[in-house]
Amino acid sequence: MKKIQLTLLALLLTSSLNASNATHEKLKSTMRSMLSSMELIQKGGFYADPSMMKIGVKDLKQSISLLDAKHAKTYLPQEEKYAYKFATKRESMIIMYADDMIESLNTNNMEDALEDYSQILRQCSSCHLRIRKN
Amino acid sequence: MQRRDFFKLVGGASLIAIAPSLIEGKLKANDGTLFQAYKKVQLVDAQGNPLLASKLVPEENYVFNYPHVGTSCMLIALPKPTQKSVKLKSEDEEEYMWMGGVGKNSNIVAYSAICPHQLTHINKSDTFISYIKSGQKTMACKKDSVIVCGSHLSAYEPTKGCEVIGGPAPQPLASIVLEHHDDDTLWAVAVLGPDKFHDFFKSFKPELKEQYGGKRKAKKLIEDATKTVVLADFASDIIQY
Repeated sequence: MKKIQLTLLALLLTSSLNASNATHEKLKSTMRSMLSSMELIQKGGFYADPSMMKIGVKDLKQSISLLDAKHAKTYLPQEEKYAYKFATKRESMIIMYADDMIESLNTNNMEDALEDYSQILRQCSSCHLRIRKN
Repeated sequence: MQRRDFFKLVGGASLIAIAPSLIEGKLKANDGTLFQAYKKVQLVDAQGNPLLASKLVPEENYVFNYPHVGTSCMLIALPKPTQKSVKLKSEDEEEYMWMGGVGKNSNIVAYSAICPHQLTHINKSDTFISYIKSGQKTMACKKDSVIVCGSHLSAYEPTKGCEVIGGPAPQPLASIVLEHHDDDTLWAVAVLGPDKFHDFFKSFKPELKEQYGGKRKAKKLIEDATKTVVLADFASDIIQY
């Protein structure tokens, strides 16, 4: 009986570790997608190409929706879970600036669009500064 | 110089010496931005009645907007008198002097609620910057009775002009210069120290549009009176770490 209990416990631990690894891998993949979207927006900015920037914004919003759909507590590192409101705020700010960038691009205001880009970058670095220190 | 001109000059200078709030414009430090006088504005409660210094709840975090319609400030009656004539330094090594709190006990202070690190500020939906009362704990420093920006855990000492006592903030919060009149009323007259208003208006355009109807409206200067309410009535969510 004891052996069965120990085996069950081991299985439970393994599956929870696997789940945690899966969440971590998923988070890393989402972050990589966000980085690619940001690079595309930047490239669009350099080449003064609003349509490229719009594709970047669309991709960025799609990636961030994966984070937004979950409670921040589910993907934050254990020791940073308490800061979930901070992470959620950064998410909502990124979405706000992304929407504003589309508005700016639609009115051919490239200067404002680039300002929105730098503000999105600030939200990313703000979160990494606090949550992801390495 | 004609005798009449001389008397005009002396008269004007004495008037300003008696009432500093009569100065409207900049007193230049090296970079010209460390003291900016604005229109003298009375602090009033939510109903529009004059806010009286003696009626402030000790350590309650009050909020009012000044000098612009969209820039929030904190007003606090601290549990003890502040220090006087505190020498502070801006990020650019510019020195300036904070004169201390006002009121009968020299414990009433006001500061701009825009953190100079990454412009975290009080807004209507939430706030990460606020005053931590005595006995309350914060991750930002070992002290209580401090102002903390919860975004990156900068801590400021409100009894010393909000000098930085912890975290990444590069300079103190800008102070709002207050006047306390004989009738116990409170007035905001100027901003002392390096403010971040320019960066703030540049950075939060979409938010200002949502909360104040646009950047231009938010940038308007406050005239005559500003409503002062407790933080919980101003921001829907107060986040403290």
